[in-house]
Amino acid sequence: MVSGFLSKPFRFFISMSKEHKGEWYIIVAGALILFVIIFSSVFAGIIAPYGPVTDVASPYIKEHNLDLRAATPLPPNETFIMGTNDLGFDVFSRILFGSRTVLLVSIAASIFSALMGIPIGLLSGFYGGKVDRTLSLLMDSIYSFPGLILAIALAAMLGPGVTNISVAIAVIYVPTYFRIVRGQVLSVKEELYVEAARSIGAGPMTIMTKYVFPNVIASVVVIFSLNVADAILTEAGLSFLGLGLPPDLPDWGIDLAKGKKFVPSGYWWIITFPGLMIMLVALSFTMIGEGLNEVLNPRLKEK
Amino acid sequence: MRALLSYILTRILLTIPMIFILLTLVFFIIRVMPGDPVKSMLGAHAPKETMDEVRHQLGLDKPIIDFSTNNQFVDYMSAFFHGDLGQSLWYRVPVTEKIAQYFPATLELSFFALLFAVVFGVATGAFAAHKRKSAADYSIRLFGITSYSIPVFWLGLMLQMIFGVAFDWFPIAGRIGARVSPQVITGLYVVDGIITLNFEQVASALWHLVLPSTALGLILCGIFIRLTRANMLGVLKQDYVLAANARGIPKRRVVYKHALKNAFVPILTMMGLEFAYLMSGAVLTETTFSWPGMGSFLVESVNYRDFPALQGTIIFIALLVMGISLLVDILYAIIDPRVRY
Repeated sequence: MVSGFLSKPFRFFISMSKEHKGEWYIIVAGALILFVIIFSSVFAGIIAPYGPVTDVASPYIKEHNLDLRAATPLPPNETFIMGTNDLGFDVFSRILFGSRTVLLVSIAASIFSALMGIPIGLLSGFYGGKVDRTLSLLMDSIYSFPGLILAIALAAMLGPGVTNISVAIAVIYVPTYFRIVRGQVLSVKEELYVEAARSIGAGPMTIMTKYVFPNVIASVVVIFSLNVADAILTEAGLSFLGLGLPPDLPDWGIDLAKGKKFVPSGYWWIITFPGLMIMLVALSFTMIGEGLNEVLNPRLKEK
Repeated sequence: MRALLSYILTRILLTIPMIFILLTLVFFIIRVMPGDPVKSMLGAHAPKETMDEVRHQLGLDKPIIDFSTNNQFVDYMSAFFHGDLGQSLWYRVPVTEKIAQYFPATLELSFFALLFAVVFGVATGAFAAHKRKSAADYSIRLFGITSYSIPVFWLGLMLQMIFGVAFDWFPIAGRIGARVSPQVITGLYVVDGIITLNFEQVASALWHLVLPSTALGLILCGIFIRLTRANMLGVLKQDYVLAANARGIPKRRVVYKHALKNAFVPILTMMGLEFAYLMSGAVLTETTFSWPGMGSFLVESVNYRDFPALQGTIIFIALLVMGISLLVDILYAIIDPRVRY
């Protein structure tokens, strides 16, 4: 069954790859950036020259007889390619370890949203009526909330922690999946082949899983990857505001929040690199999502 | 006309249950927050009797919700419909008063950010459509995609570092210079300065607005670039554009005068939809630039466990977003008769 509903979109991707050369470059570029980041986050323990919470600046200052206080932030040099922060930690090593937190939280949150939003959207679109109206109203209410503000409230309610922050972020994206899936179901439901399936006696479960769901996958893939990009920014935003994650965790948003006070003193490397990384990861997911969207959504196709 | 009125009425009626759901949602989210607000208000060492008394005064000793009419949920709802968002536990003043104090700062920032985003976004988007498939078009599109992925607070920090510290052109914190004592009428310093003819105030306020509204505006403009470009490409294929071209009207005039006007309606809708995003962005921008607005107040309320303030701020922002989207839908229905159903 798995190969049954996966092979169709797969073949579709292949056939589309010829006429969408430009889009495929974007997708591949995004995937390459992402691959490098995931690889270095998985092997952070091997790649990182130092630990994320080791004071490496103080020994360096002592060894080179520099006339500096212990743990003074050192600008990028050949030993510390991205410099060190105010606690003497190596910025590059912290960035490598920090990628784990960001990827974990944003991907977990998006998976959770998808697992909630897709089935609800399927049910709502398929059965219609009162169930649909109630669910739509609830989802529209959540959707109309400014995302970050709802996440702030949820994060404050749940308290700090990786799981809690993932849940807080997940909640705000459930309506996105719901709306897309519901809309697709509504249009697919009227198709002739669904009518045909119904007439040969297929039950609602069969129709939903075998006829309706495969048509929704393509949109879900697009939404998922755009969703992860958004979740990355929300996670970083929450950490920047000091909500959500325990402060000792290596995390880009937390590092930016701590680095904020160094703007006037000109220690640019403490804040530049973590932010660049947030942008790069979010961008790689956006590129994949946008590229796939152009490929899969013929409505936007230009002559 | 009948159809339009019934559309507007339906749209307003649909908003009512949404407000109710929203209020309920906020109520329960805030109630299950860990930490005792009374304890954080009085300090952990306050005598138990005092705490109980304060708790009683605030009505926090009542059940959260039950089948009677004397519980916190009923109190909360009835207070809301009387325009009362409760007392701030930290400042000991009505939350509405604090919101009235902080909101103009957010409004001013949001206005200039949106202005920047729309002007910059529409101009570059139209230009990209005009010069389709040129290097300029590709760079503008690339920027459009990238702008989604830039964390606004980081962009703010970078602007502070470059234009605030290294070049020392613009201030990096606050709304107004220390030597200017602003006269407050509306709370919008630029407007107040113009009303009272205090041009020093206007200049200082605008000066302080440059970096934060550029940061927020650059993040928001991506959507306007894309939307304008896509709409313009659609419009440029229309027959009347062909007709205008055939009549020998210069291409620049056709693109920027005839086509842009018709591509503008969806941009109006997008401004409404972007409002929620704008508010989220404002919270982060305000924190970055120590901007005394709703975002700063919100974060402060979370840190002080000031739950009436937190609750009030969230409700206010959510209602504002709903109100704007209602307004935009109605405007859209008036402009475009196809929307009515």
